[in-house]
Amino acid sequence: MAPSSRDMQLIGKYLDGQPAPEELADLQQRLREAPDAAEAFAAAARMDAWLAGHFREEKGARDVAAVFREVEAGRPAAARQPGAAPRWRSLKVWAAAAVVVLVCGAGLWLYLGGLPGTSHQVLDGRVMTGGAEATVIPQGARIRVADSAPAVIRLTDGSRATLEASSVAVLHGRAAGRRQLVELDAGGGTFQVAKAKGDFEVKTPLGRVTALGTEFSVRILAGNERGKESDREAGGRRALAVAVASGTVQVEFAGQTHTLQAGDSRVFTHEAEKKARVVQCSGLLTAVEASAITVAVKKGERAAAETQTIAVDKDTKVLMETDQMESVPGEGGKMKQRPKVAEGTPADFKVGRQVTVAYTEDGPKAVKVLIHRPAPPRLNKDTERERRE
Amino acid sequence: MQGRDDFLKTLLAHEADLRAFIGSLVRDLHARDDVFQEVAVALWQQAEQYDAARSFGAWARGIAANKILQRRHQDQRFPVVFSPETIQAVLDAFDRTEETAPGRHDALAECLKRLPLEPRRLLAMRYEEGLGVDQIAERVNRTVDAVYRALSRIRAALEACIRRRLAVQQEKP
Repeated sequence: MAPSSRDMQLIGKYLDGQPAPEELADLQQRLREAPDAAEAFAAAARMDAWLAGHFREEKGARDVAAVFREVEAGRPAAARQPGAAPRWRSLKVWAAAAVVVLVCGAGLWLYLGGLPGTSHQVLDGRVMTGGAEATVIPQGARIRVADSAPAVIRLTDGSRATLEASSVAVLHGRAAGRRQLVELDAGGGTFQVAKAKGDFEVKTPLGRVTALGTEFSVRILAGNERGKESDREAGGRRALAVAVASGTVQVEFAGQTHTLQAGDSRVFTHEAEKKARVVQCSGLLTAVEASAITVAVKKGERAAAETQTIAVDKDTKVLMETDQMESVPGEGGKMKQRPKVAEGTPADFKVGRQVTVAYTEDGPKAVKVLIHRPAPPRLNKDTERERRE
Repeated sequence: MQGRDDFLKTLLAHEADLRAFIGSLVRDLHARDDVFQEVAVALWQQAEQYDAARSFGAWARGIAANKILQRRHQDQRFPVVFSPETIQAVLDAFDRTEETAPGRHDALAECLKRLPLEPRRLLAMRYEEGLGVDQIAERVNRTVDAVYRALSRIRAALEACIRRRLAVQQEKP
């Protein structure tokens, strides 16, 4: 008899999460009493383990085999290409190393325990530090990847950095309150961040990228790379390109924090910040604070007003309509009348005044605020009838 | 067994299955690694006692089950939720369905490559990022039950794909 869909559901819940106590009891009973359910459980568990192993290998997780391999060879392990090396090799080395453990005992374990936190390991490619090629990089060392090919480095927290050829970086390790700090001065790289407590930060001259348990790429684009990548966005200056493969990262750039999700990529430039799109809205001022104003905007006669809070600062230009009128050319060359405008200050912001605000869409921050003069009081129908009578 | 080399080869051929068995009972990643290390060292130490006429996989899993029961008995917080009777039932099921066909790992890698983007993303979130089902549900804007069902379906589809590929390989001369 084939396992029921209920069996499969219980197995899935057990393997993927936290089954409720009654579901767990149900699953245990099925495993004990129904051989088909137990065999389906074994098949699903095998698949679960293979998938976990596969993704762990792809991610380059540090495993016991790699540690032993390094100890045996006296050098860091070579990078494992997905699908290239048969999985059995790892246990071969592991088993061989088990002999070493039996012989050396606790001393070796202590050595292994201390290994991950002390230095970065070059897994693939050529890395120069202090004028010489190195396979083990002490924390805080400045490195340069050789021109010919990228380098793969396992960092002290188990994360993996694939740095492009000619990249220059300082691998700080645990520093500045971060569990891993990489200072990227030139070039770029992809970072597969191991799951652990604390932030993983890539600091560049242009901005910072912070992540936790994710994979992302960072590249410093020089001016001469405009033709190759994001020409319009980079705008001829150095720019920071960030792409996120999985998880979430925070990018601090030009004093602002941006969050990028899996699948997002963006080029950050100072020029792009300055050229942020300016849009305009008109409405009633409903709140005035030292650094922001709130405007109630009605998009249509019957539409409900939407409030929008817009930052203001010393750079915001404030203009006020006066009671004086001036003639200006209108449509079709005809002259039309409009109120004269004078310069104002943020102190002129008063709740209840009608304003038109030009503001940067990304922010938003007010570039210019025009305070309209108060409209003449409108008479309602009763008042008008009384006046006529 | 003839010698350490033969023993090593046999051990290597069963590594994945042994890890799967331990992982099916011990759901905590670190604890299962600890158990695997203990079992591997125990197997190595007891290599001389192994009778080549018997199934190596069954012998190794038996030692693993004993280690798990031992740990469970010594430490009530040890992350095993199954009773000894259920552990025995799982052990029997693994013995009945033992598979050591070569090429499964490569077949899985090929099948994963052919998986559409969305299921692959779900698997990456579950196995690479280590997210819980509730976190995945939130991220992909689906219900928790829908994610459970999707993961079960994906695993079943991969299992079917692997079987197809292995069958084709076996037919080749």
